[in-house]
Amino acid sequence: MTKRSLSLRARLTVLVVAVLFFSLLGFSIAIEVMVRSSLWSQFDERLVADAKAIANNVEERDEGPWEIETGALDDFQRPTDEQVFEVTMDDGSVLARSTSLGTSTWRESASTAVSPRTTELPNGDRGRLVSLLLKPRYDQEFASRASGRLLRVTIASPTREVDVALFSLRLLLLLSGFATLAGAAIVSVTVVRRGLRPLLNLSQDIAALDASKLLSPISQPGLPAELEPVVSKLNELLGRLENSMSRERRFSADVSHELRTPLAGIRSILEVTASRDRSSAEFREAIQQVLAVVEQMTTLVETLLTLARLDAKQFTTERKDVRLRPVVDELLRALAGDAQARSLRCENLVSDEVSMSTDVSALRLLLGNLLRNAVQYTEKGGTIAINSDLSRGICVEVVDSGPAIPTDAINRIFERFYRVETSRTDSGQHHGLGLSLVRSLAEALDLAVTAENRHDGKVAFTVTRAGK
Amino acid sequence: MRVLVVEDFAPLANSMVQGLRENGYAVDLAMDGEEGLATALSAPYDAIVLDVMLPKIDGFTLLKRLRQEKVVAAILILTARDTVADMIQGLDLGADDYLTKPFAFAELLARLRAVIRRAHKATDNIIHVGDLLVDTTNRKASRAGRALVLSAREYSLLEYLAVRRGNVVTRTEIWDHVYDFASEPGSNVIDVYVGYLRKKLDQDFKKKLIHTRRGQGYVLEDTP
Repeated sequence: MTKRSLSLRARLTVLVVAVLFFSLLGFSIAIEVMVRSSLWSQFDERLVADAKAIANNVEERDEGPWEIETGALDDFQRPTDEQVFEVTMDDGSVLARSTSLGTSTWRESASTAVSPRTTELPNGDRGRLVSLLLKPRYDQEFASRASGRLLRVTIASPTREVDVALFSLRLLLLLSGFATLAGAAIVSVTVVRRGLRPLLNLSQDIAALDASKLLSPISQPGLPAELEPVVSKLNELLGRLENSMSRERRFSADVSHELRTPLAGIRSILEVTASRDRSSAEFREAIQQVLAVVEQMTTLVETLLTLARLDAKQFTTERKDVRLRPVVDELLRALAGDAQARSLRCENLVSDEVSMSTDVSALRLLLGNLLRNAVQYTEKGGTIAINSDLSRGICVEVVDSGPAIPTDAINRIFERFYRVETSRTDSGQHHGLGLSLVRSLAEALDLAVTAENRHDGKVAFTVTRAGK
Repeated sequence: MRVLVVEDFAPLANSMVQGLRENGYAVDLAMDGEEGLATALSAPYDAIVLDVMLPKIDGFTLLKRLRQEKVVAAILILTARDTVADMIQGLDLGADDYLTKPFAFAELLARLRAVIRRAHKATDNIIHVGDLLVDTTNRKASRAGRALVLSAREYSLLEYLAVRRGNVVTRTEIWDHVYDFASEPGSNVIDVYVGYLRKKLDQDFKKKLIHTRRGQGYVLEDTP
């Protein structure tokens, strides 16, 4: 089971939205914290200021209860505010309290100072409370000396305004955050899509490539710089692929031509011969003609099979020490008839002691094709010399007296089915596979084969150790 | 009918030449493109059987050259290349038909008859001249319902005259289209064969079909 991976577009969009989400979240939290703390500190300052102002309205007396200006206290219990307060002496006796508290006990009554905190007001609303120990006002007129006793002022105020402000802020942050996020998601989808369009086009172009058709290079004007190396590499690859495929196509076309033509010959000979009564001599001749064609086809098929095995690396070689001279002698004997027919003089100059570690049948096939090529293409009456010089890295050298190979052909003679047309006199006899077989065999034996036109008009085919 | 075979694979070429000769054609053979071009320009062929993959000049180039040189012969391409593109190229370059190897020899013969028939603007393989009937498919002739017993050469001569019926056919034309070059040239062999044919065709009938145009040649026609 393969999980379909997320598209690049989705990944980028998700990433952009996620990053934006977290930064918006952080930003909102920071704003909320800052605004909240500043609002509360303002609120608390006001509470403390109120508490101090209340304490300031209490005058210390030497005897009797301390004087409190009740009129002034009204300022601190504005009914709309629903602010409540209580002033107590250090012995716990209540000096004054806001009228809204009445005479009921207030659970916040305590003897210690309380720093600002959230509380529930007597009427059930949320509020904030602070309780301070403060010195009363001292006046020499009423008291001989300051007693040093402290008042406890507890004041609580509803926080509705701050709560509403904070709620609105949070709502605002949340809504604007989501709006921004949604907008950003839409924008990033389009931006990512537009930004990735060259990539999308490229992938469509690549998907449209069809190996059965001609592989034309991908061209995309205005390609982003990041994709250029990809496309140029791809085009290079496509070019190479197209080359090898056209070589393959040409090869199969050549194979079909080389097999169909002799088949057509066989069929034509048989049909023409069978079309009327003939003497047995005529029949015998026809059969011999067919046999000759069959033999030719057999050689071709064998060669093709060997080439295919070499290509597929299924060609097995078994190496042992082989003395070269007898092998060359044997091959020259097999070609003696053809050589004589063209008045060629063949010389085996390989010295007796030359031996190399190689597969003898592959070597025989290689040299046989090389020598047959020389016998077929050397001018009538010419010479062919076979030599070897292992000290110079030359395993075998076949030098004939020419004619020279045309310069435009010399690099191509090892190609399959390549024939130097102009020098081809005995048409229909050669397939142009001999030398390509030589090269493939050489590769299988870790050898290299080259052809050159020498200054003295001779043509040399040299077999060397590969990589030397 | 004279046919040129341009084919480089000797066993195939030789058997085609033999088969065509045995079917009454005068046949010449060229084994490469250059030879093919020179031969095709040297005589008025009725048809050319042309291979594509040829040494020296390939078949398509040769075809183009021949049509540039205004060679009117019917050209039948015979090749191992069987792709549609090859076929289109061949036909567009001026070939009249296309046959891929390997082929049945009978099909080659039928296609040759067809392209030659078209070249002579005929629609049927049976030619009527008065009460004479020439069946080019089976290479047989009859007059007034009676089969004529003709030698291969006599039939070939009759067929050529029948194809050109109503027109004066010169001795040179008969020489070019009916006889192999192997025959001794310059002799009166044509007059001799026309004589044989006349004997078999006209002797028993009051109405003569072969007429001599003095100084020009012969004409096969049903004169009123």
